[in-house]
Amino acid sequence: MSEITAKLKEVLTSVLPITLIVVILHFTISPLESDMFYAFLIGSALVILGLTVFLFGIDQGLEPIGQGIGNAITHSNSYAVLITISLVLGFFISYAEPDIHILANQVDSVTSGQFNKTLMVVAVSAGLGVMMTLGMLRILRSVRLKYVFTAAYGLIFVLSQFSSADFLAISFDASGATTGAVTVPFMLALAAGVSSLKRDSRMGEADSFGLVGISSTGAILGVLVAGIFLDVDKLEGTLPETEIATANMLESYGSKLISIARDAFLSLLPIIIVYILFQIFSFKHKKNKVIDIVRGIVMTFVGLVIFLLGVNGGFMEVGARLGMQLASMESSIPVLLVSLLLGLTTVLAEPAVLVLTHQVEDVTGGSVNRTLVLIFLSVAVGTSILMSALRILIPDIQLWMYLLPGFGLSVILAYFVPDLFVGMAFDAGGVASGPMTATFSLAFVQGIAAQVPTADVVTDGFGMIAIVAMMPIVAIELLGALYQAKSRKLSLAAKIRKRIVGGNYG
Amino acid sequence: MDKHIETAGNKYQILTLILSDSRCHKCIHIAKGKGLFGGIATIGRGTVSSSVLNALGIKSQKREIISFLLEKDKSEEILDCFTTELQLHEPGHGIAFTSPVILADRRVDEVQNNDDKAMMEERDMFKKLTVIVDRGMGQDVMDIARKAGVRGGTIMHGRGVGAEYTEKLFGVEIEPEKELVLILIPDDLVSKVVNALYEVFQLEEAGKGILFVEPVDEVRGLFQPSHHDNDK
Repeated sequence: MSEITAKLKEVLTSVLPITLIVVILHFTISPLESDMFYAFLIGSALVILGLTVFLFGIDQGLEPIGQGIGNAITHSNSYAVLITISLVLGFFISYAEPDIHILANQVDSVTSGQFNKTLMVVAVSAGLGVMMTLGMLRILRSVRLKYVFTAAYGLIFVLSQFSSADFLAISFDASGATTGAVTVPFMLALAAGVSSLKRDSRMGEADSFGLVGISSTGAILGVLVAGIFLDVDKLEGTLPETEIATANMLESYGSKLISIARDAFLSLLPIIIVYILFQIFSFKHKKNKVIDIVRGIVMTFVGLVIFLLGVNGGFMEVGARLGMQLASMESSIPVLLVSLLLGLTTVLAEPAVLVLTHQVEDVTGGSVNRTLVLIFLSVAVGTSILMSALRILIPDIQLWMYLLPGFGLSVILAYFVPDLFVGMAFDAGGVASGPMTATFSLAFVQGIAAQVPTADVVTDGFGMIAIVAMMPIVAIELLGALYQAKSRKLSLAAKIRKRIVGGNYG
Repeated sequence: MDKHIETAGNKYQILTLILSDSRCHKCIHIAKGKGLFGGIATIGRGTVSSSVLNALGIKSQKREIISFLLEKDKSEEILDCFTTELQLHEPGHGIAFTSPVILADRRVDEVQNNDDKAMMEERDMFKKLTVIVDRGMGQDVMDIARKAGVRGGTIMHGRGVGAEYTEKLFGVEIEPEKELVLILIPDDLVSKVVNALYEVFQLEEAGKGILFVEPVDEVRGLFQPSHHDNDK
């Protein structure tokens, strides 16, 4: 049983911090209604349970499928096969992601129907499909990541000159929305499957990362390109504010279950279909293996539903309420402090973060410690939420003042950091903006915006995910730089020490 | 030849531990306290015997494999120390074992080299050569071994552990990436390959890499065309 308790312990250490902070806030400066507080506690329990089941499911279902497909594509030794499969797969993974439809609906209403929701979803999915294909080709052709990201973000910068700031924010949010809890582990496994076949181990290691980062630029590019043709200048329409239901908590959970289950199933559907096709034409797995994978998929599904139920049923409303209560205080110190704390802790409970940090350990043979990666991610997202809150409180801060230097720095740093960390960093950007951020933190920031007269709930909310997607890139690249410096110092120190000791061996 | 090398290099042993994540942490800590150098840790998957877990599809669990090259007279004491500290005498806590090493820490010198040649005709035996180098150099090791006549090898992923790694980043110890190259070589090539590797990687110097040779009993699946070339 030790394996289950170990996983449970890991999930507990990632979910308990955020729970504790809300509990402390409840008993001190920001009391919640008792119904909401209990709903939150139930939500936390569901998140812990769901995440544990989900992670086992990923291990047994999604990872073998992703790696298998990656291997099979590479073995086909045909660019036609690779390009076709990546394009189709990329398009449908994104199309099936529920978050992107929610975002598209919002965009549809704020642009008064000018940017049609179907068009938006298709633009994002097409962009993601194209960039994912380029990302796969890059692995095989060994094009360095820094060049790919320089080109992609250069293009985004050029295109952004032709669109309004609000629209830019939407495009970055689209990239955050497409890289959901199911997509990220699948893409990570796919990239690992392709890169594991390469001869040079050092490049192979670095190449298992970066696909998520490259794909998410596709979503941004898709929206920006579509925007140029549409010529949308200003966001005008209004967004119907999500009502904070204070109704019976059981009811609120019950009504959400069906829609969540449908969403979760839809986001898994493309992967299931692809697995069936590959099983018939390529894998031809034995019966036992198929049973393992089916069980894995079922566990992924069940875990995801329980997790999302907890987040949507218990976390979202608490986030919005905390944001409103803290923002209505006289001093702005508490709200800033709490945004930092919430950012620090929510990212730990993101499902994809747990998957990414494990893959980092696996790929580097344990040399890049997952605790370190978590510390840096946590600080990065904490800062991001703090920056978002600041932007709402101080209307003079424009979104581009964050994004331009931030993404500029990420691309420049890519030239000074080992390739492994560049890939990890850009993947982490996509990973950090998962379901936790998109519901809890977003609701919190929108809650603040609702209380600040100068703020606009829609536009300020839209920019937040862009910031959350940006800061982890810089943070992980900095970790890479520090890591490199320390390793160098270490090998030097080891030499000297050994010489003194007399060269025990070697 | 066997005798010669064995008596000369007899003073080393390999201590291998297979532990869970958390115990591995503790083990490295103890190793540091004991002043052990040059360990290597790799990640593996252990089996699960519980039928409940198997029914849930959980068929393997993460394990870390840690190896230290130790002087023989010390290894008993250190093995005992690990056993008590990590409670290895209780089931499910991990495994530790020592295995013999023929050659470590130096070149094969000329005298033995001649012996090699004398022995070559008589027996067709193999030795297991392990080289631990910095990350990315495993391929170079293979290239050199190939030039010296070896046909192939296996590169594994690991990280260096031990008392020499003292750097910390926010309280987390930095353990640099290493590569572990396993090569099965016929006896007659041992000295040639080992010397070539010493030459190129300057293994006499501290911190450049670790090399050791272990005995092997039976080998299957290896083919040795170089023999036929020699015969001609």
